[in-house]
Amino acid sequence: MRELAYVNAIREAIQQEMRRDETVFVVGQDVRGGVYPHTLDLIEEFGEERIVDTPISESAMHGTAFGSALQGYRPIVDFMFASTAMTVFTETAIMTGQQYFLHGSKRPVPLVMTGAWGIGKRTANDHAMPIHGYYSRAPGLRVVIPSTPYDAKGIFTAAIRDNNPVMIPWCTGIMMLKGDVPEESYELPLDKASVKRAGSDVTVLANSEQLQFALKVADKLSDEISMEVIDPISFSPIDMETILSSLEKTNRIVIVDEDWESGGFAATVSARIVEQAFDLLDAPIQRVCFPNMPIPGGYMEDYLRPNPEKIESAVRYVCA
Amino acid sequence: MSTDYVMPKLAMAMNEGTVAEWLVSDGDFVQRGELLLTVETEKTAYEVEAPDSGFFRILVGAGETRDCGTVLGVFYESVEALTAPNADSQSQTPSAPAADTPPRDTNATVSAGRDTVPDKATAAQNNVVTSSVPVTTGRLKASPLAKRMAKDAGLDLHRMTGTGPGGRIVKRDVEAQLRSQPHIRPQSIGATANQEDVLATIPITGMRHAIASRLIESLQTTAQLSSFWESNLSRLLEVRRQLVAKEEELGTRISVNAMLVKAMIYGIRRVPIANSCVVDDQIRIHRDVHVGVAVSVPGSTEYDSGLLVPVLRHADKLGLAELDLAMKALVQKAKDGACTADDFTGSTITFSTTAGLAPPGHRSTPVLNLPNAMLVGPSTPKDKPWAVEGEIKIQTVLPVSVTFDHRALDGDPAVRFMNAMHEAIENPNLLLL
Repeated sequence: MRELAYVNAIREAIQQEMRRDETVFVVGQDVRGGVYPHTLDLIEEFGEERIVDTPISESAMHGTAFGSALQGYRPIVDFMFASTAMTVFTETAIMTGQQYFLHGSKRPVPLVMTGAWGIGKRTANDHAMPIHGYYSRAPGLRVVIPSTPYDAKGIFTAAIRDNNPVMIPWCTGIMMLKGDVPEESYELPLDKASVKRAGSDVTVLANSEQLQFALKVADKLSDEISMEVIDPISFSPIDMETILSSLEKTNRIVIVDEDWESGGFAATVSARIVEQAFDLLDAPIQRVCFPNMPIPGGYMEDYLRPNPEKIESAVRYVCA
Repeated sequence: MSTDYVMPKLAMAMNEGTVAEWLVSDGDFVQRGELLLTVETEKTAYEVEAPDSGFFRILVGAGETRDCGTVLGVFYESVEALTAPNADSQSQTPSAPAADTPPRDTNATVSAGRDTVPDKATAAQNNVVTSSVPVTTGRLKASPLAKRMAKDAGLDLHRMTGTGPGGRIVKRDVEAQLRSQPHIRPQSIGATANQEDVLATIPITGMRHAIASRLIESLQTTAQLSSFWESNLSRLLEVRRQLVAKEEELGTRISVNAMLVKAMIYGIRRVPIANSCVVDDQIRIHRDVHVGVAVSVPGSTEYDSGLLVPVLRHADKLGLAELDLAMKALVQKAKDGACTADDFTGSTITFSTTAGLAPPGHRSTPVLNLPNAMLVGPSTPKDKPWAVEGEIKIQTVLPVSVTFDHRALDGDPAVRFMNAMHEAIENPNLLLL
């Protein structure tokens, strides 16, 4: 099969959906220039009316997209850096998420919000911070992160076609990760986790660049510990069924997430496991997350973020 | 710094012990060498000395039974360490040492630690120890999964040793227990006869439990098989008649059993591997012959019986009369209940006769007495037609059944041993050797 880089898989999904459905358009900061290549040169095929640059004003970007969605368009609003969406958190998370519910379920909000994040590029807090933890608490939003090129195309395609608002913060750490991607268009479920490697001793949840780290650790430890590596993909809703099925087999779990440790995905999954599957646990749940401090930039990021060593250490701890 | 004190293994066959009495109080400073506690096993009681010095925290109360290696208490370096809120056993915090905790053998289910304190602990000490100290609340460390598995299987977590971090009982510990657990009780009793029809109820405890679990362990963990043969006993009986005539001089009425043990020793000298034990993945072939002698003793009611296997030491070093005397004394000691745990350990081969009790010519498939790899079981002789130098004569013929552990010895040495023993029975001159 043809190989494609992660970011180009996103581009292909957007391009194919724009060709298929003329209500699809992109709005955001510098989407014509394509600072990140997922919108590069789309202007040439679709023109200024469907590749819409805005000033550096998140209210403007999101207002345009949200209003258009209510009018029957299928916009993709690109905040470039995911954390800048937080500038209009009320609009992006609360109003967008609850619109359909608060207004009598009359008009769906077929809107995709996206932006990049990634710790480890030494870009510090604003440019690096993950936002899926914040957004996954907002009722009415889907929050998904694809972590392979194949998943990126299928998830973006499905998100564009979905009638709910979908937030897709994608990770710059895997931007150039290459993988097999079919040329034809396809959808992947927006609410299902994906088992990336089967194993029997410990379940490891990991997404984005951490998924690559977890798979590396699984290779390294394969003679000693059989790791089942699962990409959660969906952070709202969380696919507990896949997680608990795996836990039934392994009885041990490590949750890796580059988000802050407090109140995020890892904390929620951990609480749900204790509530729903206490008897399956043969060891304490371990979380490998970013500590509750600002993302510092520079080399300090490497020490603070989860990495293969920390994942291995947590895996060994639960398997002791 | 703290050091765990575990249930000591005081004899090779000891798997568990009961804390009969603590000879120190909870929180006392205990000097190494001081008497620490009394431990009871199925057979006898021991007073045990402290292997370390320190402030001693009692974790398992009197009356509680624990597997060897299970933590019973902790030696702390200082009073501060003893009373620190996180003071905890390094490897395990077993159950509440409550005097009313059901004894072993009950189908104990997992329960949260009870807020009882060791019966030796005084009120003053309770004031020192805050309620957050897990050891006094008797909290048992086990993973949720291990607890559920143990509950489902009806296993008592208190009887397990945790191999997880901090002594936590984890899945693999329960699985190991399940593998080794002799299933004494049927899983389901099913329909039984009307309760009024029950003549007597015998609890499977104490000696009965020891017999049941050791024999099931034997059948489940070895590759044992039985073989049979017959030996013409006539010549041996003739020799014995001559020896019995000398009863006064010899100081004993030489028994057939003593002569058969001699024949067995002759067989061992020809085929030494018959005198071996399987211990810890090793086959240990012994130079000296210590014969475990099966002795039937009274049971707990008039209906049942008990079985003990005291050890006749250095049987190979004894002359026939000495051997006869020693064996009779040992059997009597067992019947009198005077044996100590030492009397039951260290056998290298087992002799289990049913002669006189079983019908003539009886054969059986005796169960191996672990860890011995060979058991010799002669039974009641029978007079029958026998070919003697080409003629049919009535002879007294001894049926012998043996069981051996195929893990230790194959058919070749096993039958050579049997043949050598057979030869010695039929040619009692060989017993002089």
